Amino acid sequence: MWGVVGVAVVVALTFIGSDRLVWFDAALVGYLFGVIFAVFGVAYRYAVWLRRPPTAMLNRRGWEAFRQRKARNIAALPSLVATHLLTQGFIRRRSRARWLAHQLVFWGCILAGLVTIPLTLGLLHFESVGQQADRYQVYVSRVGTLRFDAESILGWLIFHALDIAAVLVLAGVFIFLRRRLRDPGAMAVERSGDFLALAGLFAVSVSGLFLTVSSMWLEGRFYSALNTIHALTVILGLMYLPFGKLFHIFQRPGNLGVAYNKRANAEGEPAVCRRCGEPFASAQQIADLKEVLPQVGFDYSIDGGGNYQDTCPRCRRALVTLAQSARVGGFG
Amino acid sequence: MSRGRFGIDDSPVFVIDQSRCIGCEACVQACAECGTHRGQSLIHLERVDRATSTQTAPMVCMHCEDPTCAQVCPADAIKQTEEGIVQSALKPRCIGCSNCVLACPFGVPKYVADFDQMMKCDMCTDRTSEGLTPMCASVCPSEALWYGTIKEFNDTRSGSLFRDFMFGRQEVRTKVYTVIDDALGGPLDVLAGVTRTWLDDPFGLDHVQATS
Repeated sequence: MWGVVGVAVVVALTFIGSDRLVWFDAALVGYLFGVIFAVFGVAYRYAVWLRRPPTAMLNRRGWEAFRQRKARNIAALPSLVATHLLTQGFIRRRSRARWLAHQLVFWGCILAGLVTIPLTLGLLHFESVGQQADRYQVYVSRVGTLRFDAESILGWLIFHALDIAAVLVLAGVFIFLRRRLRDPGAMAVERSGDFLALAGLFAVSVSGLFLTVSSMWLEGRFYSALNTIHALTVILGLMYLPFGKLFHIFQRPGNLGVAYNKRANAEGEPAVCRRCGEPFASAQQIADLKEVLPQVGFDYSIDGGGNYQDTCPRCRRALVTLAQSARVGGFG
Repeated sequence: MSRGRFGIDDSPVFVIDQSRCIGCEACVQACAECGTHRGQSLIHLERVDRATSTQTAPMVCMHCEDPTCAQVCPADAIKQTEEGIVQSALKPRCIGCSNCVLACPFGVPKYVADFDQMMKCDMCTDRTSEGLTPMCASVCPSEALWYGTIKEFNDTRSGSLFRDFMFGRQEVRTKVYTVIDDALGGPLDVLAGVTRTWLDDPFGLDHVQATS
């Protein structure tokens, strides 16, 4: 259902935003179908993901925590978005090279998305200013905004925004690829999907750059074939988005819910270990786990009352050790 | 050319025998050298009760056949390989909620606040996939952490390999084996109420004193 709603929103946005398709570029219709498929797939998978019992619980608790102290939480949102989603310090602390690569790919894709998606949906177009062939104006739907000189630095940056995005993405892809091919730790746990995502980003970026090469230095030779290849890579990439590794783009904002939830839990009652009597987590989170575990097929309740999940992790390790040592008679 | 000690048909197993642990912490140091999580030691080693016992409690991931950690992960970030290795959280997916840390019956996963993600023992996948012994087992002087074939174990060690645990009503079977003497005594009941083990009086002196 959410997939259909997503598609309806995109179609409505395209129709209204392009001024009843007046500014819709028919040459980009393939890309539009790619976007529609991606929106459907992402919304569908997101809805399925939210149905998993632990995800549903976290989703509920995250929003509850957000609503509990709405003013404070809204005020905290910009800094949370900046640290948890945009600057990605948690990756930098793991490895500077990986952080740099991720930032390059991240900002490259954001830039490319900001240019191409509005163009594809007909929300954005360019018009000449009067009879001046070298001056352009950016139109958002039918509202005229920025005017610029095609020969200016700003003009160059605008017309080459996708080339810049491609160079950023490629730089990131090569850093990632170097690690994937050389780091023994990464090589031991990597999966085919890790390479598929990099191959997709590489194909889209390189085929896009070749369009610029063709138009600037080859007098447009091979442009039509290159255009088809580029469109194919982008559309396949959009179709891969909901099902492959890149779905984490849409999962990661869940981390904000976790941050709000953690803050609310820290202010609530602590859970106390049934063995050592020390606080070890939030009582709410332990109660939630005890509710979720039976839903996913586990029963940690104890005959005679109580639940093993009320034991702190340290005591769990001690209990396993004591039980094992008791079943060994002596020096083994 | 394989650098490994084990061939593809050897099917080596990981064995943890906590009763043998002498608390030297060599495993703690070695764990941080593992290629998949360099710099982070993910093994646990604690004293059970320093005031009354010499017992130490080492704990690696037991690699449950049906891992609780993976089932309670809201991000579906914990995956199991075909060989039954429960891997550390997928970095792009883990959202750092700590559900796995709190739900694991063995108390294994660690939440690393700096990285905002869970990390856990993956049985040194970089080494075991090449037929090498995991870092911790390769340095353990008392063989509390041991890696080898079942035949090797039977030839050189006493006790039986065992991998069924009870946590309240929940039975858990693991890929990693532990060692017990009475294999017919049913699953290892973690809540059996044990407070004292043979290690507290290894030579039976308390018994001698009581009878004299």
